[in-house]
Amino acid sequence: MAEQVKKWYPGEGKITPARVVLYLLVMLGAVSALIRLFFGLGATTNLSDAYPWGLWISFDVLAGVALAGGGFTMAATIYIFNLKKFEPLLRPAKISAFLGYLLFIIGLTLDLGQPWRIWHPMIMWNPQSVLFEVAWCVMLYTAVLAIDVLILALERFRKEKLVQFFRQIYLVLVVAGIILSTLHQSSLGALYLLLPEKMSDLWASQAIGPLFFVSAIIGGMSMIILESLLSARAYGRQPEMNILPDFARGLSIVLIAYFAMKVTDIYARGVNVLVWDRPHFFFLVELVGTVGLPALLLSLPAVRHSEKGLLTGAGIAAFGVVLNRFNVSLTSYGGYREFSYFPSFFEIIITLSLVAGGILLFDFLTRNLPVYHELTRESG
Amino acid sequence: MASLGPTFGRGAMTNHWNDLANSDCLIICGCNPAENHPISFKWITRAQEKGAKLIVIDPRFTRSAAKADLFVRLRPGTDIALFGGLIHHVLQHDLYFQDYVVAYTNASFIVKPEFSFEKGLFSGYQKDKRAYDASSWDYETGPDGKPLTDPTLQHPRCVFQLLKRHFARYTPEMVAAATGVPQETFFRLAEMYCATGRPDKAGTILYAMGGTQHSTGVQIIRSYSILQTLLGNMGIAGGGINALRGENNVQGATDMAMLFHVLPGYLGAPSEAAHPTLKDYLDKETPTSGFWSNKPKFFVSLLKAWWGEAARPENEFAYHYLPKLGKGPQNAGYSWIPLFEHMAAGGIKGLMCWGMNPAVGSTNLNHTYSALEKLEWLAAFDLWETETAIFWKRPGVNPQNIRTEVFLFPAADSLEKEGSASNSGRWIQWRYQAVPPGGDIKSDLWYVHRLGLELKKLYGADAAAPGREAILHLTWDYGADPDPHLVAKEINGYAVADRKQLPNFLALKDDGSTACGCWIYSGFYPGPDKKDNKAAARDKKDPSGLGLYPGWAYSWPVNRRIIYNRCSADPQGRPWDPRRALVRWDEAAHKWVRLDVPDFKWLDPATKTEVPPAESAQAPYIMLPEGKCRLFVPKGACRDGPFPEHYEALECPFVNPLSPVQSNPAVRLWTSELSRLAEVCDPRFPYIATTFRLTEHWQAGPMTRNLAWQSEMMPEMFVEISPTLAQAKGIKSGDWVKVTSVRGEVLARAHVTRRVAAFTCGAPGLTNTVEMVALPWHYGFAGLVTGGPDRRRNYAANQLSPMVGDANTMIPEFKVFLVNLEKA
Amino acid sequence: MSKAMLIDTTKCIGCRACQVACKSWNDLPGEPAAYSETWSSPRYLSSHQYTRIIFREAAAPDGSLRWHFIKRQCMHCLDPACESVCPVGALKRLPEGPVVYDDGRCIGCRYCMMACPFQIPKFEWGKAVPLIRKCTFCAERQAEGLAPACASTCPTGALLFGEREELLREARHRLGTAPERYYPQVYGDRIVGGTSKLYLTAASFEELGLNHRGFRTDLGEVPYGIYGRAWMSKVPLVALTVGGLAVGLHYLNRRLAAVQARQGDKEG
Ligand SMILES: Nc1nc2c(c(=O)[nH]1)N[C@H]1C(S)=C(S)[C@@H](COP(=O)(O)OP(=O)(O)OC[C@H]3O[C@@H](n4cnc5c(=O)[nH]c(N)nc54)[C@H](O)[C@@H]3O)O[C@H]1N2
Ligand SMILES: Nc1nc2c(c(=O)[nH]1)N[C@H]1C(S)=C(S)[C@@H](COP(=O)(O)OP(=O)(O)OC[C@H]3O[C@@H](n4cnc5c(=O)[nH]c(N)nc54)[C@H](O)[C@@H]3O)O[C@H]1N2
Ligand code: SF4
Ligand code: SF4
Ligand code: SF4
Ligand code: SF4
Ligand code: SF4
Ligand SMILES: [Mo]
Repeated sequence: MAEQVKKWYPGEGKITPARVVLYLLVMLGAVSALIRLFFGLGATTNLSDAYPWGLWISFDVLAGVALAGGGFTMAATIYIFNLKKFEPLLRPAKISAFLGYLLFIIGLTLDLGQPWRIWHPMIMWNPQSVLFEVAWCVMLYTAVLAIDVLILALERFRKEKLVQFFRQIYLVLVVAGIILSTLHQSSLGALYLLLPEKMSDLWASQAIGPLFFVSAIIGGMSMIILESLLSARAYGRQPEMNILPDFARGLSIVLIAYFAMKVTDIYARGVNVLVWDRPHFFFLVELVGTVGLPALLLSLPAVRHSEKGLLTGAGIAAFGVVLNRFNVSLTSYGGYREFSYFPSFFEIIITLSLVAGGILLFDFLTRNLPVYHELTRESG
Repeated sequence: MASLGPTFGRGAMTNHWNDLANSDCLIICGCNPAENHPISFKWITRAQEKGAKLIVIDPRFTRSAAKADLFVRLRPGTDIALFGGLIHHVLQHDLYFQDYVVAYTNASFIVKPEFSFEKGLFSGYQKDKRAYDASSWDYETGPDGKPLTDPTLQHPRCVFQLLKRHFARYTPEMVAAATGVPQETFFRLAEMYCATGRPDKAGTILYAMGGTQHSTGVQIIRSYSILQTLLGNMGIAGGGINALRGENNVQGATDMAMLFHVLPGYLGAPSEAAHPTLKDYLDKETPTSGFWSNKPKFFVSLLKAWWGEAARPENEFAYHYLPKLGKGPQNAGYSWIPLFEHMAAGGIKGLMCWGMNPAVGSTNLNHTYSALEKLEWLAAFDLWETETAIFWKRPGVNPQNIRTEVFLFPAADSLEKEGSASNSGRWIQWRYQAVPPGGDIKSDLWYVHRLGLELKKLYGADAAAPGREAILHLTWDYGADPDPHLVAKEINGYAVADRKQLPNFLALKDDGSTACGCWIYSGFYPGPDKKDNKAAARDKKDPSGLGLYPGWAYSWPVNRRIIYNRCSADPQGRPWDPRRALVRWDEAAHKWVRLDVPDFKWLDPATKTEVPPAESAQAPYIMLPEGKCRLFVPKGACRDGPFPEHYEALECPFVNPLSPVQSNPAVRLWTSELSRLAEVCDPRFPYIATTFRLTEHWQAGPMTRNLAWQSEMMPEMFVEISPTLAQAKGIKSGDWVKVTSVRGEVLARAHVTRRVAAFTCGAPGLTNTVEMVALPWHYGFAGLVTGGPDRRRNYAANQLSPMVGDANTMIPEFKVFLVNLEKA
Repeated sequence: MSKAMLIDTTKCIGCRACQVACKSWNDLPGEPAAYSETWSSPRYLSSHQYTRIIFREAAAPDGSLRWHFIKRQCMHCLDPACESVCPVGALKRLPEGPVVYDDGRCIGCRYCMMACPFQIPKFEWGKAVPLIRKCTFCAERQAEGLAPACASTCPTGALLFGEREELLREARHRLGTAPERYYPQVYGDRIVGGTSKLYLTAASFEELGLNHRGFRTDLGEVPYGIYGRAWMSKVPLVALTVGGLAVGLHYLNRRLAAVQARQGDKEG
């Protein structure tokens, strides 16, 4: 009996201008990636001995991982804190987390001098290396996320037995995911703990691990809100306005906590923030504009209950996380004084294409896997 | 070298590299060993570690100056004024080493009453010839023909008093006016260095091109020498006057007579006019006293080595085969400048350019190029395609207009061939072939050898060729593939009868029974086998503890490490300073204790008994007829005066504060259009320029500008300018500027640095402040790196430099000339 | 005992023989360059330049001119940051002193470059299969009983190679016997926990303007490797705590929910 497939939303499968742009970007990115592989980093990026890490580390790795923090945040919300009402947000969070990590790995691979050796940390160990830990955690956590997606696929294809099996061990996966995320989200910050002398005082804090961890929660939560709102628009769904305001309240609490942490940190270390230069400007924008402001906005019920308000609040918060990662990795970093860095065309294209690819994959998976309840294709 | 010879007897570094470590105070003056002789700093650093003081006297703050305890910035070309001031200071304050001066110098000799010095000129000046008649520059002799002396040094015409009078004008005020050295700096310098005028202190002076490349170059070195002698610093460990030779084997090259006016072993080249016969030569050129009285033995042995069987007593040992001096433009002989003058005038057909690159290194390059263009052919033997080899396609010319046929022969480099090289310290050191040369590359010896064979063949075929016998009879048997050991053995000398190698030059005879290619080297290869080659000796024992290493290589003469070493001990043979003993008379044993090979008659060859010290105390400078060091150089041995006198460079922005004679009156001036000079204080060229070397580059450049490792360190031509000049001209470091002289121009990057500065000098009332700029001269237009981004340009500094040379050596005045500088 | 090098910059004449010797021994290419205002050239260390001499003109306290020559290369830290951060253990300090690099392991993440407090490791940007490059302390020469190429070339003895303890003693001896010559400090004896390159200078690195060009003076004495290890030592604890909390909270919250549900039932 042939399964009947319904059309779920207007325009599905149509070649919209947005799609064309996204596909073009992905293709351009793929070509760029090939060029990068054949000609090397020097030829294709603006990286140098003065700036060994650039856009790809700042955005694809640091920001990407933080924004993909929704996976473990939702898992904890649902399974650990048992806030079942937020369940509708769980699946998209899983998908976006998985895609986030997937793209991050692609980005990282391109960033490595020797991409084909990406597996080396598996057998060549240096247990005192933070990056070694990050590598393992990311690897394992991506595996966890992959299993998550696999379960969705199994559901989709009705492999009940296997689904059942995974349900039974699911708590293990959740706990493993949370442990791994806690570790690597904070360790990504700790990467910079190890170069205190090159970091601006504004960001060089012993507390960078916890700060990264908490901001990854912000990144994850704000992305969940954004995804919900944006996918609703894209697919003509109803956003989960029943739960989003509450979720946003949670976000505002985390933002306030984060704000307090940052302020305490700066204060405790006695750093003077009132200096007029570029790093200080960026720091203040980050702290006041992208932490304080959304915290305030989202603490207002009126804002929380409006789609626009949510979009703005969560948008700023997500942007704040990205800004923070750029600040830590680029604004703060002072290697050679006389050099500056701005990403090359290839770097930008590849980053954009990763984002584009992410959107397309998200689109593909949400349409083909049971992610959004109302989008889920169920036969007959 | 032309000043050390007349002063001490030999034209060579008196001590040697390792010996620098024994010094208490070193003056680096007119050289820059940190950059140009880096390895010397091993020993200088050791001396410093032991507490020695280091003084650097230079117009520029160099890498040597960076290591100095005292840096004295003097205006280039004014060393005589500064050292004259020091000599005056020493004499005025009785800081000289009295016993030494009385015993070992000609201070007590009485000079002819006709000798005088007035208004900047010595007696006997002939204005029309720009030369001196030096007959009045001589000692007053007694009835026995020997010079009269006054050991009390009181006689008004004794050398000492003349010296005192001559330099009395060199007061600290005058020194400041001439050199730009502030008086307080001068006094610090005087205090520091004159402290070595004690028996237990040794001071040394190191010099090179900063001292010699002047129209007064010889007299500059004379002024160093006089100071050293007054302070008793000659002939002792840690003392001496040390000429830092340039190219790795330039010492060997001059020893072997790669100079126009001497034959191997510094035998003066005979001249057509004065020495038509061997007898004339030997009679006129052999002094009656001193070691040079053996000259006939050396000379005849040389002729025997060259013409073998054909050199017989009845034909004056083939003396008539020998080419003689007397040619060349204005009868100046073929030193560098006259050679190129003559070439430019079309007088020379062909040039073999052997391991040199005059298209960069010669002075007044535009003149050089015009001279090269006059050649019918030019053969360059080199490792690289040098600027000289491509002078016909240099920037700015059309190759079609140049008819010179150019050949480039690939030469093996020092690692690709076996042979010896002699360093500044006179050490003949054997080197081995590390790798065979590739391709068609041949050693220089091979080329010369083949050339000789070919010439013999051609002359053999042409019965009418002039000078045919001289070629046909030339000894030329060095094997098919020439063997450097055969050459070395001939240089050492052998007995003609049995072909046995000679032990040393004491065995040479003037009767044709011995042959010797270079008498001073005799003794370095005293046996037939390779194991007898003392140049290859590598014994690291140092019995004296003074770094003499007698078993390492062979030091000419007769393996003597410190020459004039009789002076290290007092007339009784007791070392002035026991810690620096080189020789000591052991009264009890009636023997000399010899830590170095004695440079005096210590053994009577006839009786084989040792000669007590009194005799050698009479003639510690054995190469000079009077046996004493010459504070006063008699008989025109230095053409421009028996004493040094300060004159300004030919191109100079100051009026001579010391006398009305502006520049050296005895230098030859060239008249060709391209050899023009700027006026004195020429307003068109308001800055002093000097040229210098960089550690990173070698000479005319082919050896380093073709190597990426060297080139990347000093990639581009620059000119050092002071911050004040930079400000006045609105120039920043790195800007391209154009430097022009009356002869040419060159582009360079401005290198703004406090290491150069303006000089304020001039006679009272005429003081002026003049900026100095300094240019490295290594860049050109061929090779991997030329000196700038534009390969159609010539970045050679010598496009600016003048065609004037020292009165004696003709060495060009590379160190002072006038330029203008503008932003390019 | 481990080997070290005492770099007495007061004895350096800036001849750069070491720079060339290093290139020669390591077979590194020379590169096209342009005029440099300070004469230091090439201007930076790179994968082709393991060492360079920095030229610095500076005024002495009395205003007179001084010219300093300072050699720079990997410091061969006793507890190197680069070793501690490398995820695959490509950089390792040998017990004999050199911090060496294993071409076969490196993945090219460039974290060593970020982490080195002296900004030493350099990347082969020009290659499609790039590696990290830096001074090796001539470990291969040392293994054969030879001094590093630079040290054995140095004409003045400015580069003294030997046992670290002995060199430290020598350095202190020099400071004691010629205090007027030196800035009173052995750079490298304790900074970042100690390095195998020990410096004596005539002026402080601040005065020389080099504290932000590879010779930072504010790095402290904590061995740099500790930073990473301190973090990593917390990992098991954090993992257990987070895991324990997660499991605990999960059951707690489930129970609370169940209780609430039951209460709700009762009340309802
Ligand atoms: N790296 C390197 N080493 C070399 C060479 C090379 O090309 N490169 N060339 C070799 C050769 S052939 C030679 S001859 C030697 C030459 O060796 P040096 O004589 O040391 O060489 P220069 O740099 O020409 O001149 C030395 C110094 O003299 C200073 N000077 C200029 N005018 C005066 C003056 O009037 N009085 C005093 N007191 N100083 C003055 C200059 O500022 C300069 O610093 O070097 C040899 N060594
Ligand atoms: N302005 C200015 N000009 C100067 C000076 C200065 O101080 N200022 N200094 C002057 C001095 S002191 C000197 S010595 C001259 C030097 O001037 P040059 O002697 O002309 O210069 P070099 O570069 O030493 O030339 C040596 C050549 O020999 C080649 N060569 C090397 N080894 C061998 C070999 O084994 N066989 C052969 N056949 N060729 C070999 C090299 O490649 C190079 O081309 O320059 C003089 N010019
Ligand atoms: S001869 Fe060679 S070793 Fe000696 S100073 Fe010159 S370049 Fe250095
Ligand atoms: S200086 Fe840098 S590269 Fe060298 S050992 Fe220390 S941390 Fe590693
Ligand atoms: S670039 Fe290579 S050596 Fe450096 S940290 Fe990464 S893997 Fe280790
Ligand atoms: S130790 Fe070896 S690799 Fe390091 S700078 Fe010296 S020569 Fe170069
Ligand atoms: S070789 Fe020695 S003296 Fe020359 S630059 Fe290097 S450290 Fe200094
Ligand atoms: Mo020379």
